[in-house]
Amino acid sequence: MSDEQVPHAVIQGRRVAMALLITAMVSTVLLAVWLASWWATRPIVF
Amino acid sequence: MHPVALIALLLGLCCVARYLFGFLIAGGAAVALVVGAIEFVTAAFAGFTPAGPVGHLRIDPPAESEDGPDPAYRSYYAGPVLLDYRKVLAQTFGRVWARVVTDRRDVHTGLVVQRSLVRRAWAITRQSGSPYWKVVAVPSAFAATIGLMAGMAGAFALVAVTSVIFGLLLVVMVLAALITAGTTRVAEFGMLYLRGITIECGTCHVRATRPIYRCPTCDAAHRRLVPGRAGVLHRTCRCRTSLPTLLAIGKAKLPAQCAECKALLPVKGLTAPTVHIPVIAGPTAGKSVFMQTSVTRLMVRGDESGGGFEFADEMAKSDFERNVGLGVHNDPSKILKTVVRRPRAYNVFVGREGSRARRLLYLYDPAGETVESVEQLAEAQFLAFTKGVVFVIDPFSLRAVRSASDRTLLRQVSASNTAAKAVLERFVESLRERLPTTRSHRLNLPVAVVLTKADGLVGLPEVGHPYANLGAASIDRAMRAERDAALRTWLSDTNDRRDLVSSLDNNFATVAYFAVSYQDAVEVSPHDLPGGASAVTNDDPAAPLLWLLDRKARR
Repeated sequence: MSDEQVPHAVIQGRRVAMALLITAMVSTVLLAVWLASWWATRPIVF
Repeated sequence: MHPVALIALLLGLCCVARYLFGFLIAGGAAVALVVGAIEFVTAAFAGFTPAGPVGHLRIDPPAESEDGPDPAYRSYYAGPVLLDYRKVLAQTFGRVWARVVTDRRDVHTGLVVQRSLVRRAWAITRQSGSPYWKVVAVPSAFAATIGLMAGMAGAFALVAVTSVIFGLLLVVMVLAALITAGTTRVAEFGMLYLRGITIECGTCHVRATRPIYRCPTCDAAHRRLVPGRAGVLHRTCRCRTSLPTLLAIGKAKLPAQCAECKALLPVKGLTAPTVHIPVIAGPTAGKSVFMQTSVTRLMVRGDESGGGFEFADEMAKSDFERNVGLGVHNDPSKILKTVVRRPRAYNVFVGREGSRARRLLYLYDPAGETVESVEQLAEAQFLAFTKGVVFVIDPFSLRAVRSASDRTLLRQVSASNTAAKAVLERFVESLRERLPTTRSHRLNLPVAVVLTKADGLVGLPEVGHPYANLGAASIDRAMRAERDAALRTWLSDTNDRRDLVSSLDNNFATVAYFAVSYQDAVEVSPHDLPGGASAVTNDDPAAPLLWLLDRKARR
């Protein structure tokens, strides 16, 4: 099948997959920020 | 280098090295992290471009075959999405490695088109031949390299974490779709079971448990149009037409075929319970005319009351329209004679679309010759699905009526020469072979006995119309019990051997009697009796079918 003939289901699937990937990226950034803030504000025991 | 200067330089470096190298490591890491993030986002947008390349997805449909998989594209979520993501990851890692560690080269010439960050850091050490510069630059380049490598590792770690979250989201989405489809499918099976909805082939008379659906665009055969690897709620045919996999979302509207004989099944099958009704009579008893007029009445009633009527079969529709074109409503002799072959069902929907009262009617019109032959009746497999019977009696086949009629009238009404009792006996014999009986050895089937050609009886005072002299019941079609009893008595009195009515009573649990005429196809109106006597109204030609459909009338 030539690349020009992209089935509609693939087009829709890629849009949804991209949305999921962006969600995953944002979640990762939030997770990293949360971990950094948790590390920065950890109680220090002398 | 002078030893004093070297010592001074080293002491100076020792004081600031902690800050300088820390800055270089952190800066390098931040740069590599940003580069990694940019490359990942760029690769993701490129990899998931909706109309991007699909050659690597391996989703091409298999060739159409008799027993192989259906000619449908593999679902994007049944593997291809991972192939797209693998491409995104490969591109991310390749480009980040090229930007940070090795040089980026032209794929054709092999020439360096972009120098890597590590090489640029080390290139600084070669900018001056001074030994003082070397002492400062080499450790700095080393620190920057460590920072870049750490940043790259951090970027890869973030990509890995993102991939895990993305994978989890994909799994959740696919699981949700599968659960939705599974639940819907189970609900669909349950609904079909509870409502007793099935579909039978009108040609080979076999219950179609797994119909073959045809793509409306390219006519490709889909043998298993159900949620699966080709799609959960929809699948994509080889021609890129989207096909629904569940009845509730449109599968019922696709053209369907019987898996056994490949004949077309009724349109919108599996949306309403089926009711199989054979219309039985001897040759020229008026069976085909009765079917034409009763279907016309069903259509008219459906339009008038909004009750709903729809042809479920193109052949039935074209047969009906051809008979209308021939003027059968005005001259029943013009009707096309039923061909002597295996009877094919005439499919119509009765009832409003979406209502629970809607039924898919299978009207069988076996040629009179079929009913006369025991061998041909033995092949009538549709009898196994029979839910009711229309038994057509030509009054002009009864001896008393024939005696009272002149030859012109007999020729005019195409009087049947076959005795109704003989037809009934052969038919009952075939039914008993296929259907269970009650304790009283009766067939648990309702039978609508239809006296056709009632218009011909209006001009015969010797035998009279069955509904003449019934008072209000002569006109009022709602007085079913009186009219039913009158026609029963008329048949007993008119028949030379009274055993036709007895035979019906002995063989069937429920029997009702109707007198109809082709003249009432469009509108059922009173007919004046000769000699200025009162008028009579025949039964609505659709009444026998509607009575069988609701089966509320009882004798």
